[in-house]
Amino acid sequence: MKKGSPVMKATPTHRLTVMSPSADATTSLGMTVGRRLAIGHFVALRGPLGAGKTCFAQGLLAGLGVRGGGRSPTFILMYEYEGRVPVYHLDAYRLKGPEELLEVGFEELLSAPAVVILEWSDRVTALLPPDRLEVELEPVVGQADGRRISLTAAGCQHQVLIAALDLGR
Amino acid sequence: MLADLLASQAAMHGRFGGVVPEMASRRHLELVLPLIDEVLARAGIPLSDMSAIAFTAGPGLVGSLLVGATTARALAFAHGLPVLGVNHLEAHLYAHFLPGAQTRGFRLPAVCLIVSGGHTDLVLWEDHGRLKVMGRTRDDAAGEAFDKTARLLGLGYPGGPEVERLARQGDPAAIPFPRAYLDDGDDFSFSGLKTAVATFLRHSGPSFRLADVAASFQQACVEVLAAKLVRAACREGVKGIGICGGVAANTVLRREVADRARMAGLAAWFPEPALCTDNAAVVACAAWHALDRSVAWYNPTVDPNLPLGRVGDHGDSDPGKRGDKHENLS
Repeated sequence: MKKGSPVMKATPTHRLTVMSPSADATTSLGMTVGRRLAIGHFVALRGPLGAGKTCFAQGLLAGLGVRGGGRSPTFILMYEYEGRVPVYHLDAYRLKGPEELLEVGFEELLSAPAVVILEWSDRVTALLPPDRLEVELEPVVGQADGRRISLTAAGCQHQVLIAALDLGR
Repeated sequence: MLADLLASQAAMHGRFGGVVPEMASRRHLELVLPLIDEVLARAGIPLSDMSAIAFTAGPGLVGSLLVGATTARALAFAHGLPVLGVNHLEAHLYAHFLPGAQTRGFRLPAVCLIVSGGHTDLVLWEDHGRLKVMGRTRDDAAGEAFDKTARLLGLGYPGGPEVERLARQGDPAAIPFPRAYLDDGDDFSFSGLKTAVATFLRHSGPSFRLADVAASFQQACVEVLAAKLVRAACREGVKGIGICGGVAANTVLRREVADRARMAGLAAWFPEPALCTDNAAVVACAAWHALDRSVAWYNPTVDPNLPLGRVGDHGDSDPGKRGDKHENLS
């Protein structure tokens, strides 16, 4: 296998684990997922600092047809984009609790005709919609650039999404 | 400047209760009128004696922007005053026109760097109302990199001053963290630097000093910021450079910018640190200069993605004519 292409491993239908060897591979995996995202999809990203959430989110945005996107919403809290579909890119890193996410109008976003991407979703677990794609990124021990990326679908809309990705292997 | 107040200032906490999360528009609503009363009382001037009322029109969170815009419009209507929407980033730049030990003699054109937790923008500031974004961050802002590095090092919040304090005891050349020059363009990238710090901390075991990590990170960050700022100024043929935004309070960045400016034969200006972070004085200053140009009225609406140059783009107050003349700064 040539360097840079991710190795995929699928377990049942709702979970996919990918070993990404580099930041570029993480971005292109994000792009693969992003191309299949449609209105109503919700992507929850989590993982420690430097795990590759920015790379993955930049890939998602590129796959959604957003040009020049991917600046971190950590301090801004939310970026709004027009890609193939409207996209909201949020970040819960600086929030002290779920109520602060409600203050930026999170509930309205969930029913908006748009794709929502939320980084640091583990800080606001109580507010996540039941139907969602969970993406967990973690560094691989002993590798500087290697990342284990787990995609988990909760709810049928996102299980279909994962199944479609799996077919693309 | 007669009075400038910030709702999050420590002195205000007792009166209004607790820390103010800037994202909470409901808190803005509760605080805005008492804050206006307080600032007028300190200045000793009634609202009706003002020349105009200014508000931040964007970029920012729409809920908070609307509180400011609606308040400004209502007060302006009640007192028969002109009302002006000001671009948040343009306002930051006006810190250069406020009194300070190192802003005396500031004049345009200049190349300025707005560097904060949310923004890293390199701006060619030709004249009042004429600004061009030359480059900006593609991922994390520089202030965000400081904040997240502080978190990685187990330091407190806000991270910038904490990293700077720890870095004073460290060797800035201890660890060769990457400098993202991005093919010598005017854009920035700090996400990779933050990741490099995380990777270093994960793999290096206990055989290093945290102060060296802080100092080396800070050096990598300020070198890129200062080098790109000075290079852009030389290329554009302007005589002076400036920095504003929260990170502009960093003394190592100031020294690096001053040193490189001197070598390049440029004048360097540094607004007072208190005027570098978010504040209303710079909004008023930007509005004052707009009034000076007989621009007494702008379409008083907000735009969460307001591009730099639009609100200050004079003779065009038609909200339908939102063009692409300037790159979107959001």
